[in-house]
Amino acid sequence: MGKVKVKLFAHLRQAAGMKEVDIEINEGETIKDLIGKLSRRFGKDFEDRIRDPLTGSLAPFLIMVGQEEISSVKGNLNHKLRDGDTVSLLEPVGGGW
Amino acid sequence: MWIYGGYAGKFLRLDLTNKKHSAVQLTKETARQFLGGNGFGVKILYDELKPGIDPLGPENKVVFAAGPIQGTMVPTAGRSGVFTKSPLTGYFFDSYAGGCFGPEMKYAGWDGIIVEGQSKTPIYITVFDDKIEFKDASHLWGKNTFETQEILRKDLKEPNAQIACIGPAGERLVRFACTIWGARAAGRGGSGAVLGSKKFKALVIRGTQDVEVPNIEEFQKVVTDQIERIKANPGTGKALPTLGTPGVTTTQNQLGILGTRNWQTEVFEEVEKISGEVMRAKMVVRDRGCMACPIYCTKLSYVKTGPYAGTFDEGPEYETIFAYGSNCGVASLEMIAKADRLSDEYGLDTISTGAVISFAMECYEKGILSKGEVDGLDLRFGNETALLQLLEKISKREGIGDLLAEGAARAAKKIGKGAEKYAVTIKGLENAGHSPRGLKGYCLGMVTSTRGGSHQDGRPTGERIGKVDRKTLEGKPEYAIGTQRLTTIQDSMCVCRMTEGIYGLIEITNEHMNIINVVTGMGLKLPEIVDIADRIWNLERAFNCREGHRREHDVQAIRFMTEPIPEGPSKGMYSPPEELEMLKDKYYELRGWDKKSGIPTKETLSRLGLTEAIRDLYK
Repeated sequence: MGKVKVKLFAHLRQAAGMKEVDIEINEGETIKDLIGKLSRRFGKDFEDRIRDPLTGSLAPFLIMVGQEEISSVKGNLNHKLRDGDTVSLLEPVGGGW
Repeated sequence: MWIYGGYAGKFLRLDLTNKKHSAVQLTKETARQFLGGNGFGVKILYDELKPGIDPLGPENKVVFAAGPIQGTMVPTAGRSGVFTKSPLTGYFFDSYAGGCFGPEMKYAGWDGIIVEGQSKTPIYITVFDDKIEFKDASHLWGKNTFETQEILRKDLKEPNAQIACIGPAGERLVRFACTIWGARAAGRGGSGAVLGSKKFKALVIRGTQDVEVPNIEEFQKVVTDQIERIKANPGTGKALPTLGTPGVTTTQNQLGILGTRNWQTEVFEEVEKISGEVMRAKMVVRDRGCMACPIYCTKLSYVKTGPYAGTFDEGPEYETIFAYGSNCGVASLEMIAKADRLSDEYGLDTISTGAVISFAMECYEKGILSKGEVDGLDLRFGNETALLQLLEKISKREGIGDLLAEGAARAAKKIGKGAEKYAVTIKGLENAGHSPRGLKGYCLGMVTSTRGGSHQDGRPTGERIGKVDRKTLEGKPEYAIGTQRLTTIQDSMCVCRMTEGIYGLIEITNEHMNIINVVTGMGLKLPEIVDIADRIWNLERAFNCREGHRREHDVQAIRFMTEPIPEGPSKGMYSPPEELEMLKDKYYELRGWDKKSGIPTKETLSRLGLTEAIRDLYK
């Protein structure tokens, strides 16, 4: 058992109602597992902000584990998390300015 | 319906010198080869402007143009463009805004309007379908953009007229003055100054005609499907409606790519005070969408308390938060809203205005400009009062404002003493709020672009959201070309960048093709649309090469080529000249441009049917 600190940005903060949250993780759990836990914790509105309900695909955004940047669409979501990691979920936007 | 759907089939020419107007027929070939908007703008200006003319002289022209989709319900079809030879860059320039102006122009029966010549006295023009009138604008001269629109709607008894106009900054030929319609700004490149040089205060449009498509059932099916997907997409359905473009502010900072204090660093320690989240909570009173757009990314703000209480603003957008906020060291959203509002009233481009102010602030802090030289202002970063005073001085060309109204590059040259190093510009245009140091592909896209320091040719989004690796060089010439083709087609259809998540983020896609075909009935294949994009891009390049542009002008701002980002997650990143030159080699090769000169080769121009450019560039 361990804990990661999750930092949220932009509209993900609105959906979660907070800027950061500590999430417990088990040995060997990955970014993918963490996303699942966040969706369960914060509900449908949060889930709809990171995953397109029509296609079921994750929106493109960067996930930072410490300083390492991992793409939600082409990065390794099986990246294993470690106790004490800080994970930042940046703004999911598939287009813009 | 005209030969193809979507088009009005004609342009309106307004001769300000002789107060005459005429219709110019759009040809089938021009529509197929240049599509609309951006394509029409460059085709007209390339054909009609002589090289070497003064952008602020009577020979320059301003084209307002829409694409085939304006006036239809295609999502984001509210957009349209303004095209001219820029007084900042001396090159072809295109700038766009949403709202309802473009559709109204189409309803009045015009794909575009060409403004030429020069009036001796202030003038405005009404275009009510085919009825055109030249009118005295003496009573409007000196009025701000909102006053101007209000007076005209009232006087003309046309509450729903769409009005493009300039403010006092355009009248005084501030080189980065913009054109405003509603509260939307075709912000960049100085079209407002060009209109000001013509004494052209406003263009009032009202139309009653239809925009037709070949098959309405098929069209409705496509549009309904798009709206459903826009609503479901996390970007267009959630992120943008919630926070608008300001949502990206904290993300930029978290990646260490938020321009701060004239780009001396890219981490702003007070970013949480200027975030989209705080803006929503403190100031946003309403969401707004442009015509035909279900995204509603515009945020209307009202400042309730403090020294800026009572400020009502459409925005600020992310670029303005960067320009007047982090890049000037200011952590007050209320002041940013005030500066944004004033910029809209005066008709100033917020990106360039913020950039010249941050440039002046750095010169002041480094002792290059003394307090006496800046009219006694304490121009330290973060001084809100001084910022607003300087903004006003720029709009009036008063004191130090007169020098800064020339733009950062010209001002730096005049100041000397090494000030050039602090002018963050490309080709004379102040850089927008995305990091060329921290986004390698975007950097190359900007450097090779027609416009220069714009975020609309090189695109930051693909790299910022991790679709493309932002730190490596591999594949960046291809990425730059893909996004430039994309923006060229977006700007010729005149769809908004906010559609990228639905229509395509890093290249032209079948989505663009389907929209073009369902509106026009042209039946174009994807490679033909890519050719249209390349034709337009190469004609823009030819326009600039005709003005003397060469490979050596495709460079970044000095700071980005010589100073690595000093701290944060992107620490150490920058774009040394040797790296850029290597990327340019590959880029030119892929583009079919001569590596030594940067001019499109005869073969490239010939393949795209640009015989006029061969004639001019290979005399």
